[in-house]
Amino acid sequence: MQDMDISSPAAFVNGGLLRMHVGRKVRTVLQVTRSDIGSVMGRSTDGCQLVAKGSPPVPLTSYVEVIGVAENENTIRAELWTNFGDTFDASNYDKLCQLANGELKHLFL
Amino acid sequence: MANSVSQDAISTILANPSPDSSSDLPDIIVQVLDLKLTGNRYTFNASDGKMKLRAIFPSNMSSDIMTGSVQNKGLVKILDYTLNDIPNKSEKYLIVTKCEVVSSALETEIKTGEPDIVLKKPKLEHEVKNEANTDLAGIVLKPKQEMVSKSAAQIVHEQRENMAPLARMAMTRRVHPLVSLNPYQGNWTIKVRLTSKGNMRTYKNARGEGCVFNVELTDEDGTQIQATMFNEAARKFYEKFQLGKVYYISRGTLKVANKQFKTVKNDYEMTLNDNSVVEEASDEEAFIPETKFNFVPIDQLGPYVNGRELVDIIGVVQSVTAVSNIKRKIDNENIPKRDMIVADETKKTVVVSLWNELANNVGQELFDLADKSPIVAIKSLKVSDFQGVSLSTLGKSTVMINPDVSEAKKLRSWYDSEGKGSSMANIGMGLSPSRSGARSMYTDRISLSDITSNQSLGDEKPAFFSIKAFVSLIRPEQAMWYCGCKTCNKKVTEAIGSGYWCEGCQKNDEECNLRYIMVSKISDTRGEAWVSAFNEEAEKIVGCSAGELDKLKSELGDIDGYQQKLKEATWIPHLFRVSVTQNEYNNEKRQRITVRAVAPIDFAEESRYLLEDIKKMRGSH
Repeated sequence: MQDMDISSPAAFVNGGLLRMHVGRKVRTVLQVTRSDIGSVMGRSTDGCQLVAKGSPPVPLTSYVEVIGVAENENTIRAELWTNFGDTFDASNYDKLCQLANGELKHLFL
Repeated sequence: MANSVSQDAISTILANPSPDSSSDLPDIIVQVLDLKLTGNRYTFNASDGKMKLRAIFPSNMSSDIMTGSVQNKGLVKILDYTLNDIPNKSEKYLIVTKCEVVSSALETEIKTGEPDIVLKKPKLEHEVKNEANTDLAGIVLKPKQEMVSKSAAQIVHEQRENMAPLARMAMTRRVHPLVSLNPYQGNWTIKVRLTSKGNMRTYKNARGEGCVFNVELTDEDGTQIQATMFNEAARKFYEKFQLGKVYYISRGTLKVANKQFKTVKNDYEMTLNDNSVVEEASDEEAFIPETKFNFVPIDQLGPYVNGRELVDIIGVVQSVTAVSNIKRKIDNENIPKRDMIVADETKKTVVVSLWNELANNVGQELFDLADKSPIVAIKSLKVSDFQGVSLSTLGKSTVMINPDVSEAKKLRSWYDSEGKGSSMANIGMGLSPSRSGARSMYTDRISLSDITSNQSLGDEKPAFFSIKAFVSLIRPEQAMWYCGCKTCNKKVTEAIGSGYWCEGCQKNDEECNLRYIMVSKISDTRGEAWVSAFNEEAEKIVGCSAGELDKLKSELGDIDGYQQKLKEATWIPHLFRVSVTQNEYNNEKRQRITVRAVAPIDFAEESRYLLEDIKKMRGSH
């Protein structure tokens, strides 16, 4: 297994922002749409379909946070999975992603 | 045995201030009114149905009165008396030296209405000529002759048309300006116009049921005062008080006004009870003052939510529902209600609930007119957080349809030109409906340092705010609770023997409820402060009732359950609704913060709030 890059903090991303961090550590929350062995498909907080590769927790709740390295603009190689339960405010998280990548980037990275 | 007063008994007495046993006076039977104990003697107003005279019974009769042989509204025959002058006044004072009871309390005060022909000066001229009337004149010659000995004030009074039964008050109608009234001087009469009349409200509290209504009185100088009447007095005066009419009022009591509920500018407020006197001033025209509005645009209603300040609005009616009946939880009474949606130029709409009479009367009118989109102006609405923001009428609310005010005309032209077609959002929208308590936690949100750094907050009326904070310290050694009455929650004292005595309910109970009265320290990102919390709120902070905590306190064991429980209550975030007031302590003014409501953090809601806040801050860059 490849070593995870732990030297820098994970950037908060949604579907649209993932492409800006390809090859780097990212974190995001997905609403699980499909769960297979070795990967999970989910909807990002801005409505894109993303893939998280790895071993999800069992059982898996509706919302899950994944932290890992961005492989490409719609895939994350997840190292860390956290169940976020069945209710989650996607819009709040999405706004957070925008702030964290925009004007307030310097507070996060 | 007579069952009524002697005709002109008072005139007879006035005409004969010091009768001797040889005087040939007719029977003097009067009705005893306003009987009350003054010192160790009983005073009353002697009435013959037309006039009244202040009087006093001899002290040897006090026991008869106490045992009930002489009763208020009863009849007595005055056998011997002296009439005295009251120094510095034009009034006379009857000192009864001997009398006998004629009748026990009658149903009502006797009033013989129209003044006697004889006493009206103008008609006297006719009497002299008319044969038939000479007889009358003959009988009453005595008092007529003695008119000369009457005081000037009395003659003036007798000349007045429509003599009111309250003759004495009419004679001494020294009207006091409202501004001169105070709780320490009870001997006043005011002349005021009824400028606002509330609806009769019924209430039920731990001690029973009652009814109450209040009115606003305005005198010639423009000073206003609120007057409240309960139960007997409320029933007595409700019909009598009519909007716009002028009244002479006396025998009310004054007390310092409760600033929280003040509706008029006056340091005092008045209570009228069963003994108060209210008489319509027949010489004044009724004048219903023009309603003065202070309109709040719908999009500015936010800050008023759950506050005590009432608002006025004006808008275009979008829709009106049919009447529905709501069951009031407190007493299971059915109350009619009607809702309507009103819009204004801010392009926001709001729901207005019309209650009671308003739902039925003006509500029906609005319902029928709804598709014509009439303009409606409403005064004195309560702003609540139901569905974000909504308005409700109260007893004192007034509704005007298509009023003749300039704002109405502006609204009409706006609506007809652009308003009609535009899409409008409800003012409550955008704020997600959530559990009650949490909703209002977003209005007036400030930080603790904002409160502690402003020591003049809440000096007139309590100021309300929302805070998000952590409880940082609850001192275990404080007296955290009191023994409360199971019925009315007031503090009870230990009864002689066993159990507890409640002074308010006037009864003993074997048990009492422990109720919190707790002081704790709260902290947020900017500061910290000490706050007081009462039972319901403290329970939410501690996580158990005072009774349960008391049990923990008295439990023995290795672990101090009591201290543990208090520790566990700290560093939990809460949303608090607090009130800030000023307390005077050793001549110093101190800020006092009281927790009025506690709600858990709804993280999604809170995040939304913070994001909005960030947006506002970024916007200002």
